[in-house]
Amino acid sequence: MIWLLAAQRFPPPEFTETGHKLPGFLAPLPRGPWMEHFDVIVLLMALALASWLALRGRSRRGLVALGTFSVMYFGFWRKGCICSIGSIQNIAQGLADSSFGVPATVLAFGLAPLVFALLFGRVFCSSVCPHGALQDLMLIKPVKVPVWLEHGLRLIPYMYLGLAMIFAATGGGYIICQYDPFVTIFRFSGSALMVSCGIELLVFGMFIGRPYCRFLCPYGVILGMASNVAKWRVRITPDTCTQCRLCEQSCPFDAINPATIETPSRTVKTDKRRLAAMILLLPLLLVSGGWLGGLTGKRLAHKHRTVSLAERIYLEETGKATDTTDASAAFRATGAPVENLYADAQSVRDRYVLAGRWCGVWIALVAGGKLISLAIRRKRYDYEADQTRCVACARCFKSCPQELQRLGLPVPEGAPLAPPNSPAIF
Amino acid sequence: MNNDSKLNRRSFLGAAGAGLLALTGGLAGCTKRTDNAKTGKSPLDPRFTYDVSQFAHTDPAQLLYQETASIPTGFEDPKCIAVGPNNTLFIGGDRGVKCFDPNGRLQSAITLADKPIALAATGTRICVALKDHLEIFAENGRQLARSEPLGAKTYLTGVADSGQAIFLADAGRREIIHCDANGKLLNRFGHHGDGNPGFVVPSPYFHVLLGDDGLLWVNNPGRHQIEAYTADGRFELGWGAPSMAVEGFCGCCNPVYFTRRPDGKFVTSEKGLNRIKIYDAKGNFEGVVAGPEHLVKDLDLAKKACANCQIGFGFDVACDSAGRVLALDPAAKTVRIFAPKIA
Amino acid sequence: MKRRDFFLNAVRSATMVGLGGLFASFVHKAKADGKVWQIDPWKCTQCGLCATECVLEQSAVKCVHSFDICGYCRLCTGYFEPQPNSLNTAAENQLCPTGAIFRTFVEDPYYEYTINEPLCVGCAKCVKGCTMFGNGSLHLQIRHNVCVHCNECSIARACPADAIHRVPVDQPYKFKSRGEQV
Repeated sequence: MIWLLAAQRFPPPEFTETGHKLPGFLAPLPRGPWMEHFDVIVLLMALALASWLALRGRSRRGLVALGTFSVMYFGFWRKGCICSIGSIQNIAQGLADSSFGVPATVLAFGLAPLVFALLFGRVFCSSVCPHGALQDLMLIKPVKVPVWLEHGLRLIPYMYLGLAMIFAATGGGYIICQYDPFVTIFRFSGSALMVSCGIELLVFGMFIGRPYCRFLCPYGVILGMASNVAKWRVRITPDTCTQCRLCEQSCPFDAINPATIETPSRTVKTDKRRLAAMILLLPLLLVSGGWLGGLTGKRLAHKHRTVSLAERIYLEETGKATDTTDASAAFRATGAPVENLYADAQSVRDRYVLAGRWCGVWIALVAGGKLISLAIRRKRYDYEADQTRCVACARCFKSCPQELQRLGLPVPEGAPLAPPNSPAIF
Repeated sequence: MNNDSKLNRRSFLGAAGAGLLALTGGLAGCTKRTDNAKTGKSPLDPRFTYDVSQFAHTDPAQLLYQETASIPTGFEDPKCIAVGPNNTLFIGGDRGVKCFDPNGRLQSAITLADKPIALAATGTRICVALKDHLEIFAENGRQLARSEPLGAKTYLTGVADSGQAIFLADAGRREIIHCDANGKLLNRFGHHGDGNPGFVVPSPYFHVLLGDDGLLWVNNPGRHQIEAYTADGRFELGWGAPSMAVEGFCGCCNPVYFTRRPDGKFVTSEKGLNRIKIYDAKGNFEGVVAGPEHLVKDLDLAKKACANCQIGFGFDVACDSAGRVLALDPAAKTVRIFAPKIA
Repeated sequence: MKRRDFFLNAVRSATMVGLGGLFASFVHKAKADGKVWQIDPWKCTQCGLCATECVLEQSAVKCVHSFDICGYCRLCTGYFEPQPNSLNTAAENQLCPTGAIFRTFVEDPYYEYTINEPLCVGCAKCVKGCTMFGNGSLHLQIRHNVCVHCNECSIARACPADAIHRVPVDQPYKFKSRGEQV
C-alpha cells in the first residue's frame, strides 16, 4: 500500500544560513558472514578433536580442556547462539515451511554433530556442546539417581523433542530456545525465571551429573539414536574386559551397562510373555498416542500468534469483548480482512493437529520401545558404555586396570590384568 | 538393560509416572505463560510511556457543536474540502474532485491526472492545487486554465482565490505564491526576515485563506500561529500559542487546517490530538467543535486506515453559510457535519 | 555379529545420505544466507515491550532518527514533555526518562535531535510522541552491534504488532526514509 502510493516525499527544511547537512544513518553491522563461517570451522575442528581425544587419545584431561574452550567460545564469547540444540528447530521449520530459509551456518551447526555421532558417538556432548561441557565441568560429587527414576526421567527429552518439533514446524516459536536454562548464564542476563532455572540446574548439576543432557536435552535424543549405529565408539577398556567391575561406579551418568549374568529360566519365560504382550500392545499404543497427540495439538494451537489473535478478533467481532488489545488493534490497523485471519488461523490449527498426531505417535513409539526393550535381554559379556547414553566424557577410562597399565600408572592391588577364561568378543 | 528383573516394573511405573508428570507440567507451563501483549498493558514504569490522555477529553461546557450528519465521499483517499458561496460542497481526493449539493447528493465530478491537495471555490470557478501546479475549472468541470509547473521543490498544500488573484501555499519551499487570475506566477513571499517571521512547515500542512478584511490568512504550524499578510507579502499580525491544553495548538506543528465562519470567527483543525475549535476574529479561544474523543476512536487505527496519513492525520475543515462546520474524515472517508448546538 | 554390523552400516549410510540430501536441498535454496532480526517501523505500535522483552539487560532496540523526514521542530514532541515549562534542555522538560536525546540548535528556528544510543532503553516513548504529533522520524531499530542474535528473538515473540522478523544479513536495517514515505 505504502509502496504503491509512494510519492516524492515532502522535502525537509533547508538550512540556508548555516548550510547544515543532514546527518546520515549510523548502521552498525552484525558480525560479518565470514565470522559465522569461522564458527562452523571452529565447530568442526572441535568435533574432530573431541572424537580423537575420546576414542584414540583417551584423554579425560584433553576433553576437559576442550570443554573449557567450548564453554568460553560457544558459550560466553558467542553468547550461546546459534547452538546445535536450537538449530534443529530451524531445520524443522524449514522442512515444514518451504518459504522459510535456513542459513547454511545453522544447518552446519545442526547436522555436523549428527554426522560425528553417526561415526564416533556423542563426542559433541562430551566437550563441544557448551551446555554439556559447562555441566560436566560443574560436576563435583556425583550422586546416583535411583534406576527407576533415571529411566523415567530419561523419557522426558523424547517428549520435549516432540513438543519442540510441533512448535517449530508450525511456526509457533522455538521453545528449546525460550526455555534454555544455560544461555542466560552465557549472556549474564535473561528473564528472572530462566536465570534462576539456570543457576538451580547448575547447582543441581554439581551432584547429579549433567541433568540437562540426561533429562531434558532434545538434541541428545537425536544424537543418542545416531550414536547407536556409530561406526567407532567409546570403549571403557583399551584392551579386553576382565569384568573386574572396577568401572561400574565410575560413570556419573549411569551410562555403563554391566555384563549380563545368567538369568533364571522362569524370569526368561515371563519376559518372553511380556515381550509378546508389548509387541501386540504397540499398535494400540501408537493409535491412542496419535489421537491424544491430535487433541494436545489442538490445545497448543491457542498459543500460536495467529490463532490467539483470531480468537480475540472473533470475540471483538461478536461483541463478546468490547475493548481491544495491543495485538488486535495492530491487526485492525493493517486493514487486513478478518476472513483471511480466520482462514489462516484454521490452517494453523490444522497444522497443529497434524503435528500433534505425529508427536503423539512418536511419544507412544518411544514409550512402547522402552517397554519392549525392558523385556528384551541381550547377552553382554563385557562392561560397555551404553551407546545411547554415553556422552564420551572419558571418566571411566582410568577406572580400568588395563588402561592404567597402558598408561604405565600403578594398578590397584588385586585387579585382574590378564583376561580371564571368558568368551572374547573380538 | 537392568540386571534385576524386579526393576522392570518399577522402572516402567517410574517412567510412566515421571513422563506424565513432565507432560502435564510442560503443557501447564506452556499455557500458563501469559502474553504481555494480551493484557494490553505495558510492563514499563509509567514514566517510560507517552501519555496525553488527560488532554483528550473535552469539557462539555466548551463544546459548542454537535455532529448532525455525514456524507460518504466515495474516495479511497479523500484529501481536501471546500464550500462554495451557494453551499455547494467540493471534495478532492484520489485523482479527482467531486461536487455535492448541500444535501450531500453527488452533482458532478472532475477527473485529474494527479492527486488534488487543496481546493478553493468562489462560486464561479474552482481552483485545484496539485503537488506542483494549479488547475482552474469552471463549475461545470471545464478546464479554464492550468499553471506551469512551479519547480521541483514546490509542494503545494493550500490555495485561495479572490477572482482577481490566486494565492498558493508552497509547503515545500515554505513560501506563498502570488499568481494572477489565470494562475500565472507573479511573486513569491513569506521568507524569514524583513519583519516576516518565516514559515515553519515540518509536514505538508500549510494553507492560505482570503479574509473579508482583505488580508491573506496563513497557518504557520511550526510556530503554532495563524498569521495575516497583505497581498504584497507584508506580515501584519499573528496569533496562537503552543499548548496541549484546549486553548492552544497542540504538538509540534499545528493547526494543520483552518477556515473562517461567515461571522469571521476562525475554525482550526489540529492533528495529533485531533480537535476542531473556534477562535474569535482576534484569536481568542471560544470553544470546541469536536474534541479528540468525538473525531477519532483510535488514532493509530485511523492513521493506518488512511493511506496517506503516515505523517499526520488531520481533518480538513470548511464552513457553510449557516455556520456549520464540515470536517473531512480521511479514515472514515466521509464528510462529517457539525452544527452549532442550540442553546 | 556380522549381520548386525551389516545392518548398522546400512542404517548409518542411509542416514548420512539423508543428512547430505537435507543439507544440499537447503543450501541449494537462495535463502540459505544469514538472517538477523529487525523491526518494521511502519508496523511498530510503540507498545514499549522492546524495552522489557529483550534478553539483554539493556535492550538491543534503540531509537534511531531519520533526519531526512524530521521537521527539525523547535517544539519537538519526541523531545519535550507534553506540557513543557519552557523550550529548553532542562531535565524537567525532557520527555526521555534516560535523557538520551540531544537537542542542538542549527539555525532559527530549526533544532536537530540526536540519540545517545548507550543511554537509550528502547521504550519508544519519544517515538510515540514524534509519531503521534510529528513526522515519525524517530523510530525503533534493533542495533546489530548490541544484539546477540538469538535464534528466536524474544521481543519478536512478544510483539503485538508482529513487527519483528528475520531479514537478510546484507540488509540488516529497515530505516524510515524519504523514498518509501507517502
